[in-house]
Amino acid sequence: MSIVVEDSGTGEVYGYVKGAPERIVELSDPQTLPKDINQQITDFAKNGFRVIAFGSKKLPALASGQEYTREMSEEKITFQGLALFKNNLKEATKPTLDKLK
Amino acid sequence: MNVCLFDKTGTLTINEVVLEEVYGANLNVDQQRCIIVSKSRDVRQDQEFQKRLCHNFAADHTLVLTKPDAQGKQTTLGDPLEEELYKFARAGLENTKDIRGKNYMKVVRVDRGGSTDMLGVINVFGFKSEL
Repeated sequence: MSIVVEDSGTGEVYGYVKGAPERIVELSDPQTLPKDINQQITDFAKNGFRVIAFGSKKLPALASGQEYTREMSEEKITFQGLALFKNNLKEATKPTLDKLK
Repeated sequence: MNVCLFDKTGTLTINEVVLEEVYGANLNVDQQRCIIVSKSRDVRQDQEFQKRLCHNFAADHTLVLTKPDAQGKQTTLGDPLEEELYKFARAGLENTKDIRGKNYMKVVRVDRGGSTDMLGVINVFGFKSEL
């Protein structure tokens, strides 16, 4: 999903996007991507992490009556980073699966 | 493919999703890889990329605030994954939709250790399967 936010302190407007890493990488300006990003994403996933990626984009102020669109906030974003989540197995899961084998 | 297995949070796994680590892209520091943004960092020292990442965590979610209980306490409800990010950002949903007389869809504050960023949400573009 994505969102358009005004920072009340500066008056700047930003689009913020989050989603599957592969998709966020596609939407990102290639110049903002760390060189090993695809390898890094693969390594984290192989290690059992659920990975979510993030991007942002500074948006121009709009004239009265105009509205921000999804395309404006999601195209050519600046890649921001990754969040890694763990959802651990229940204690009983491994022995149960071993029995089922 | 002969066998395809599915799991849902809380069946084979415990009913809890934990944010283990946050990695931020700061090409000025490392062009090769994303770098760890520590949970225990001094948020007053946050660089621009850390601040913006936290603004993303604070605002880009579908969490809602419950009505005050008997003690006046309110909690957030919603996706536990989004809640973890929201906590990492030290964010709080405000009861008001106004900042200095300007109306927004919702207002989020971000604690920056001695100062507070106030964010007014202008538009929300919902979940897309590609994302």
